[in-house]
Amino acid sequence: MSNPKPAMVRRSGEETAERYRMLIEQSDDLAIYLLSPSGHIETWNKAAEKLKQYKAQEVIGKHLSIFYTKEDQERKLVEKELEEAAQTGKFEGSGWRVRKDGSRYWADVIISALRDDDGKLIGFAKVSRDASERKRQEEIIEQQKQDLIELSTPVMQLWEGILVLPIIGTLDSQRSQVVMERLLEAIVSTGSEVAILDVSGVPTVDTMVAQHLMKTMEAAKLMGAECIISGIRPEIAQTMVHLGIDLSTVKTRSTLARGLEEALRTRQLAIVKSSRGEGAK
Amino acid sequence: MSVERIPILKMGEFLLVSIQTELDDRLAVNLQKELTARVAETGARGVLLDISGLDIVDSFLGRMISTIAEMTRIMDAETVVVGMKPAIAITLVEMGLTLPGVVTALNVEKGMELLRARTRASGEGDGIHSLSTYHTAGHQ
Repeated sequence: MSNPKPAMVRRSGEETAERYRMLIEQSDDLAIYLLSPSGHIETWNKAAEKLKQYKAQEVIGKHLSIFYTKEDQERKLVEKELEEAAQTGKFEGSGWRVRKDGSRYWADVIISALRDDDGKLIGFAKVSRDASERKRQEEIIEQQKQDLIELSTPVMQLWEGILVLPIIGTLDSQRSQVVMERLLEAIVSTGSEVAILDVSGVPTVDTMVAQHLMKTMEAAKLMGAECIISGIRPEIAQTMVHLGIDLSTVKTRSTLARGLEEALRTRQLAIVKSSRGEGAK
Repeated sequence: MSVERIPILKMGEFLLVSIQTELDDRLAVNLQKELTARVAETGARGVLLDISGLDIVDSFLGRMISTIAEMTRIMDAETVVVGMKPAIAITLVEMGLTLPGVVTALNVEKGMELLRARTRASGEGDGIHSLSTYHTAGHQ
């Protein structure tokens, strides 16, 4: 006991095999089982029973595809996964699987090809795990990301024919894509000829984002609307010019107020001081 | 699909071309021929190319829009492309076809206003045109 290492070495091959068998059979978390080269189930363990609800005698000899959804069965997903494992030695993936009672869970799966000394395929080892909780959390994060995008890209009609899009926070490619689509849709639905993109709340841009903004403006122009960018911060001005982005065709204004002034001017409108107050004196 | 023709309508001193069907290459080439002929025949001052019915575009069609605009321009009739859908605009920009030199407007109405303004500007000093300006102004 005090020196376990030599003890391990001294164990007979049979004893080691037995221990491995126990390790796999008793595993509570990882479903580990063997498949024949054709994909039929040959062994089963406790975790597999817990995860998929089938008892060993119910599944041994069945084809792996019984755990797959109907759509995946139709897509011949099992065959494709086994094919990949056979060719590259290993398949790794995630997907929806079906329990005995018909409920679904999200599984992380690894299929490894087993070959004998001559390199002949003798079957597959399959390890899978319930990742439903992680999947659910990922979905929540994705949902919140979407909500955030929705919230953070409002397109407002400031005046008849004038749209304002205040962009706040870091722009990534995905968000700039949303900005582009939102703006173009709003141009159509409101029939606006001028749109002000206020970027005073944007701390940094990279090449991709700058190009996206340029594309947005070009697309708006193709539709017959004009874009004005307002509130470019010093850091962004430096980045844009260093990146070699051609802004010569773009109207830029220092502040949203000046942007609005310009937008009104292109629509032949102007804000004037009311003379009423003076008249009352 | 049988070869239809894209109708070219005369509206005063302008021509209105409204594409309400998917434009295949042959139809587009025919339109180019017919439109230039009509511009010459009617002495039109401008062309409104309404592409609001167009849902898909490829590089050929994108270039076709440019070439139509260029052809009519050198024939002294400015083309205004109107009603481009967002998806088409995005596709064209992604393909790098930003149609430089092509005048655009949101819809037929705004395109018409734009054409009027532009032909008026180019015809400044022309007695007939200043008269028509006066007329529309008086009418409002």
